Amino acid sequence: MPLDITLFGIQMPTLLPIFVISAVVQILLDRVMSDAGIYNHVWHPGLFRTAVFVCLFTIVCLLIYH
Amino acid sequence: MYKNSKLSKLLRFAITFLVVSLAIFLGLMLWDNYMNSAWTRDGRVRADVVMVAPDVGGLVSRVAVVDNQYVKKGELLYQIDEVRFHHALHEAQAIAQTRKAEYEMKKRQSARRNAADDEIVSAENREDALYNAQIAHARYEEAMTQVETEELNCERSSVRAPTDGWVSNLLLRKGDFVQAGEKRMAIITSGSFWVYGYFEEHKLSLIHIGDQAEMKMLGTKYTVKGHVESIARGIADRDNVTDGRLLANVNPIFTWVRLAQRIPVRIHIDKVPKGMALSAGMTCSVSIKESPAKRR
Repeated sequence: MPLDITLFGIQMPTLLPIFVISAVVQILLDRVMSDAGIYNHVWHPGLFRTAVFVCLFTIVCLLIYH
Repeated sequence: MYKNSKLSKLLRFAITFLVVSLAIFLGLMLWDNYMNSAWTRDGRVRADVVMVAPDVGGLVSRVAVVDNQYVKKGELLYQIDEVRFHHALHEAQAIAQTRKAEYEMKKRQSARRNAADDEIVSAENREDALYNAQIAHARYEEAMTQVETEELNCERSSVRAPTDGWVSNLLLRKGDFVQAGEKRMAIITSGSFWVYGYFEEHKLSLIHIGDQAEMKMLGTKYTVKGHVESIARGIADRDNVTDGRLLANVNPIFTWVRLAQRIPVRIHIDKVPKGMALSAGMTCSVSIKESPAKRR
């Protein structure tokens, strides 16, 4: 995977689209997890959600920037 | 019941902490990879540019090339009106002929006087005649050198390509007047392309001469391969410009935030993919791969 992508002659880091995509994935995952009642088993749902998002984002990014 | 609620509380803490610490760990790893590895988006393709200037001045009578044309070394670029130089050459040749005749005359005079005995020609006359002949010879040689100079001027009125390459941004037109030494045409030397990667100073310790480099050209699928040729040993200090009275003009910087300077790293291009035409000034992302020999 390239480090940068170019859209309309503007070069930007691949991190940016990954960020957007992982945000969408996180929203879907959030729905599934709240339906499954996982948030009843965590201490601080807000912190947990943020951490899950960071994990999603960084794992994909690390595949590119290794 | 109490014990069960304590256990579930512990479980809740454990799950959250696990995920949060994983997130922190991955985040730090990404930060390290992103910020502290040797790559930059600020790479430029560069090339050697020869600024062609004529050796003699005059009116341009013919421009023999078009913009962006590929020229071979020695090919005619433009012609400076040579009538003036031909006239000067003829003048110099005429002077040389005169000097030659003078020399012949003085030489014979000297020989004649040398042959006559002391009663007819005095020793002083004889000596003078000899020196006159020598002076005439020197003046003849001077005139011959002038002829050679004028021939050179005639030859140099045709401005020729000093190297193989491409004529770039051709602005010279027929009828323009060019001064001797005035640069009026740029030629981009073929095969002289290299890449300058402007790396932040804290990344320089990760870069070694000979390391493999990959250049991703902006907006293309092409990847150009190369290796680190050298690292610049100096850039201008932007915070200290000498003023009109030769005093240091130190910029009062904002002490909290300092920007890393960019140091040029010169990268030799080893392989250009097929179908890719390099132009000086192109932007590329440069990433340096540490060579296996140096990896510990």
